[in-house]
Amino acid sequence: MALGELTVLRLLRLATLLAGVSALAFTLVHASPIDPIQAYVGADVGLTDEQYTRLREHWGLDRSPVEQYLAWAGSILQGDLGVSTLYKVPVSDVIATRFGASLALMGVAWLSSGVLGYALGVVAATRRGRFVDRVVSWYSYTLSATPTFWLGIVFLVVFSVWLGWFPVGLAGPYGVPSDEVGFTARVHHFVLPALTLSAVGVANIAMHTREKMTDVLNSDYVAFARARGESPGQILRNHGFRNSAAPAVTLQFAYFSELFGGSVLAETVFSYPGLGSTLTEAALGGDVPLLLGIVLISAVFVFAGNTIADVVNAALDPRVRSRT
Amino acid sequence: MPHDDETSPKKPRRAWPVAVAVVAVVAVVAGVVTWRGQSGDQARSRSAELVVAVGDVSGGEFDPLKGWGSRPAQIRLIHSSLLAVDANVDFVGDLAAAYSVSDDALTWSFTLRDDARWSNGEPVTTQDVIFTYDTLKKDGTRFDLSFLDRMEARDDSRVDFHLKEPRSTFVSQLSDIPILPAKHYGTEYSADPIGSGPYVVADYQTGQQLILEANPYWYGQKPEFTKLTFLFLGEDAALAAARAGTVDIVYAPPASAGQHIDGMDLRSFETVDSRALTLPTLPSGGKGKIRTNEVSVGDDVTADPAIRKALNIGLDREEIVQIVLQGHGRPAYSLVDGLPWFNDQVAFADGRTEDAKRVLADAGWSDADGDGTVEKDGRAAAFTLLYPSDDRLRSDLALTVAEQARALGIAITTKGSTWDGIYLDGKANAVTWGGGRHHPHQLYEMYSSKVIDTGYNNMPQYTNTTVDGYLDQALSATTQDEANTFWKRAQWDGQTGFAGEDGDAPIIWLVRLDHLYFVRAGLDLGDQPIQGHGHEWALFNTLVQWHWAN
Repeated sequence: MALGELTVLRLLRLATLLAGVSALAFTLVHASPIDPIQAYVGADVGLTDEQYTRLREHWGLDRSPVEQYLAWAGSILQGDLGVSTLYKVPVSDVIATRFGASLALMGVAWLSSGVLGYALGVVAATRRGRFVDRVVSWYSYTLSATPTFWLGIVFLVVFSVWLGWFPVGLAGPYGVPSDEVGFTARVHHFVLPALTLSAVGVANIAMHTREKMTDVLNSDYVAFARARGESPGQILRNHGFRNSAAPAVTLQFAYFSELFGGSVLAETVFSYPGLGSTLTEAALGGDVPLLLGIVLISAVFVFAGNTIADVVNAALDPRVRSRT
Repeated sequence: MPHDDETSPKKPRRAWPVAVAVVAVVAVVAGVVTWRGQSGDQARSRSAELVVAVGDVSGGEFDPLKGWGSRPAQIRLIHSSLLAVDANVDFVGDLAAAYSVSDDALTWSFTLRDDARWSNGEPVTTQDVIFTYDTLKKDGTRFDLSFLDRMEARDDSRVDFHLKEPRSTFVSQLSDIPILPAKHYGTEYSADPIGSGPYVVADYQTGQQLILEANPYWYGQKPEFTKLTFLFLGEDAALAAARAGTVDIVYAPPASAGQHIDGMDLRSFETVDSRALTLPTLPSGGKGKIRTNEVSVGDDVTADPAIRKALNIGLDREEIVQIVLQGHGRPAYSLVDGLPWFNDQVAFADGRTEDAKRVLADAGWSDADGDGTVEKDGRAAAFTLLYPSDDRLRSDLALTVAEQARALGIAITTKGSTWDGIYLDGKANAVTWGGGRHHPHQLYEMYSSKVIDTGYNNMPQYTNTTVDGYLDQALSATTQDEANTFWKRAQWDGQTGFAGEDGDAPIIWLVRLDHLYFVRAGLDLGDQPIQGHGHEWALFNTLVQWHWAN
């Protein structure tokens, strides 16, 4: 298939995906027990019927769900994501400011968990059953069973409260206007959430790599290579890395979605102003435009991850290339 | 794996400890390097700047059209209002130097103080006041100003408000609505809020922090603190920040109140934030409205006054405070305990199981089949109590009440729901209700038969014509003292009322919460009035009085 055709096909897929995801998200929000107006004004604030009705009209909630969705979809096509009911500013502005912070966080976590996870997986597989393997496996199982937010709290207590090395939450020092916050200060606030997110991500990659590498090392061709007299190092270089890299890379890009989920929790614990904590606020606050906006962006994000995984996979593995 | 031993390369054996070492070194270096020169986050000592973390304070930033002012004391930082609440919860002039109400209670006249200025130095005028109320009345979603007819400026400093109907509780809007600058108000107001309060916004970082600096043009007492930083931290992070010594005031949920934090004291403040049970007063089978939706109304068990009275005197409020609030609260006998319009005759000794049983027996309820629940005419004294399942306090309250009621022979089934579910089912079942304001208007909303079927007012569909009369008189009173007299009579006038040991008890008030904060030792938070609901802003009524004690 020609590259042009492939691109068109992918774009088409993306379009249908977004249509499907947005329709589903909209239906879920509509069916959710959260009354956006109640969430917006707060549980204990009394509203007169008059105020309530006006808000409903103002937000278009008096129209049928289908009408509401079509109106929303129509303005999306014109590039207008709507206005956040929670922040009362355009959704695109909210997402733009929050996405940068999240992207940096997820990027660092993604890279470090990928590299470290792969390395640990390889070590564990080659030393299978030994002490090092047990340590890696123990770490991985423990961390996969650990909720991200709990790990975040533990890090907070150890590094921020006991040791005092890192600040508690936020993306900048207390009481300093944002335009006076330097680069080191930003990094300083960034380390703990990134570390939390990486620590959890490592487990997944390590365990998958370990399995794949074990398969490779138990395969006939490795037995043959060994019979030919290749050293363990050579076997790893010539057969192990190439055969285990493809699944690891695929997994790593597919991990975008989990990364996103993890960042929601990590950002909430550290009050880090990224997209994840905004998503939580939007959902709990019944902010439909913002929620749908973030859902769309994250769908694009995950789709991009999977597409990259396909491309990289094809580049790494001639068999995949020949199929497409 | 038999061949594992053979395939053990030397290189990766060292990779694991090396990788760990690398991570550790990177983390430590990043920490130590970036640690230096961070003035803001270091452990704090007494200074002219305060850092506070009092919960989720974001939302509606600085613009009443976006909801700023809908939480008590929220506007006290960067705005001022016509009236304000003092330490005794009396309504006193703020921007208004004086005010008076006409004999027919339909015209309110205000004289503005002549030294009030905006944070840009321009004077605050009657046009600003009229602009603010006009804008909010037109909007109609944020503040209920439906009773307001029109306003007119009599001269540069005097303005008259003409009402469509008498409304003594107008004082609540007058003290909640921040006055806006007519010349500088627009869609971008949130980004550059010009106000006439003690502080101005120096920097606002969405979702992170709000930095305030003292307003040089503020007309009132100069605050001792030149800078205030609000951190938007979650509860765990806020307490961690307190432990790290980087904040001066942090909100403490009751469950965390037992902790000890070095250099900080736990301060507890009495509030008007109360919790109760609403009990349908009509028999089942009726229809009514809530929030414009048609719903079923009534419950045959709670419609019997004896059931409500037995619960009212039989439940042990002190025990509920201990269990539900871990002792950080106090019993409540009405919606307005401790406020100037509270009738102290409605407090009584409760937890009287035997008396409650006698009330039930006198009304014909008895446990004939011996199952522990009393019956009357073949109907067991059983009903359902709804609570919002995401609200821990109300969940605990529902369970504790059900447990206590069982000892009286009343079987309460608790059922978790969402608020929207509760609104649909709440007129045919009991509900864990709440309320509490610095003004008495909620008494009217919760007990007057005239507001039945509007909003979610008068959930129990309660009607008592004597009470209705007092409530109307209270609303049309021309002075706060006169209004308070009638608010008190509505609670209990010696013969009838909705509160008290012998009252109708459509809503059984049980507890009042305390607001808890860890505060840096030596920080004096002034002469606090009893706090409004919502722990985020309640402290700030007295902001300008805060200082370091010697």
